[in-house]
Amino acid sequence: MPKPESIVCPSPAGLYCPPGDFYIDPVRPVGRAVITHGHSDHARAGHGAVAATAETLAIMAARYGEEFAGATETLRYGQTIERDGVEVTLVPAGHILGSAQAVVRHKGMTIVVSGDYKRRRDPTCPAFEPVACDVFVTEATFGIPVFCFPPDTDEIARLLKSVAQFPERTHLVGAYALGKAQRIVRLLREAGYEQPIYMHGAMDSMNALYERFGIELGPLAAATTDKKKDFAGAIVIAPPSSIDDRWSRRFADPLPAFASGWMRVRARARQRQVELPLVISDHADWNELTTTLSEIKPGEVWITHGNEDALLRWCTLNDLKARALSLVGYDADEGES
Amino acid sequence: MRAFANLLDRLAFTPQRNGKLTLVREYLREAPDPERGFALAALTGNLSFDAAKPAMIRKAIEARMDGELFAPAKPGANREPELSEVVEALRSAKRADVQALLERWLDALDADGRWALLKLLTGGLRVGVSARLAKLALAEMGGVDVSEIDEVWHGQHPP
Repeated sequence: MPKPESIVCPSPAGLYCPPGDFYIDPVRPVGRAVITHGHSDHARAGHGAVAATAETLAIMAARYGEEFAGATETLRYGQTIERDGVEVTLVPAGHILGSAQAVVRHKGMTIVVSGDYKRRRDPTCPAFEPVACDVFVTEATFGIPVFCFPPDTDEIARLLKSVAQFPERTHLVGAYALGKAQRIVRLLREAGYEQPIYMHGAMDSMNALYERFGIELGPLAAATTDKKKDFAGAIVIAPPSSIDDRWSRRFADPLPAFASGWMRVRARARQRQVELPLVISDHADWNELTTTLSEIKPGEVWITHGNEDALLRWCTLNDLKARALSLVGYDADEGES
Repeated sequence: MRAFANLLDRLAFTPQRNGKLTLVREYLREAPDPERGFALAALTGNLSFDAAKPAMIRKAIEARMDGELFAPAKPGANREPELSEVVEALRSAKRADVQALLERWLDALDADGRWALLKLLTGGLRVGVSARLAKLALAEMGGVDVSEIDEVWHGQHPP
């Protein structure tokens, strides 16, 4: 068996596969790249050739323009391509629309680069599929035991209850434009909310893209309108940065909410003057991370970035060989990762 | 505990007085007896437990820290207690029993529930609600003037 480091290794540009001569989610322009998902810290413009799911390629084209890479190759989930004797398969990661784990196989060794992932159900993308492997490469954004996220249906119920309790206020929900916003909309629809949901203009292109890939979002309307309308009783979804911005002053007594795993930390909610913290994340929480490692039982665990210390300790206690790669360039802040 | 913990959570993040008033009023309207009685007593500072001491919280946590800090929390290992169960158990508990009770509850509750439990135990909820505001919310809920509440208040005890 070859050493795993000879098949996938950390490099300044990101994880590199020397025998196949390609990178996975490189942080700077490279010749050949496999992209796990469309968030901007993983999917960057300017690579020579990009292999990814159709959804991820569409997201990149919508954000960077059609010329975002020299050439593209669309991979279906489960489809395998070969690069100089290295096989690459994309498998659902459950993170956002089109998100995938990159399964790299070479000379009998399997390395899974999971990208960003979560284990709970998401109505906007297929569920994470565990793949048996020699090395499992994981992130650890929420890799400390305090991060134990509640069911997202509970959080949506809290939002809807607040809307009923404060009908004179505008519920302004901060959510990232790609993934989180559409998941919140779908969860609201599943909870029976049929009213129009008002959207900040920055959400439009991703909303349209999700609809194009069959994720029905129901009635949406622009929150940015010249007409005098105070949006009392409405739910408005906007990028987190707009919540405490001038933009939000147009609304009737806005009630700031924020959907993020970081809302588990009270001080974070307070710093942002959030009145309704919604603990909804597209990342695995502590229990999802450890459950995944127990389930896959890889020969080795590599932790790319995030809070790796506790997860390393957990691996030691559970007889799993583990190491931290401490990759830079990935957003540990769940800013958009 | 869940509804009470949610109430404390919302109160802690809601700066406006009117917002707090709405939250307390709606809680008092929805919660069953004796839950809402205990909640009102807690909000107005009329609830204290002689057997429970803050040091016991530290002991209860220390008893679970080593090794288990890294074990995944086991939700559902115990049934989540109601506010009234917590209050009644603490009232009748002997000093020696409190730590075991605490351990069991901390295991069963989620993060917000634990936070509410510890606040309840150590006295002083500090969610920015005065006894006055709680009485006002009660008056609004019952559709009476707050002076009528004031008049009978001192003859009342927690459930």
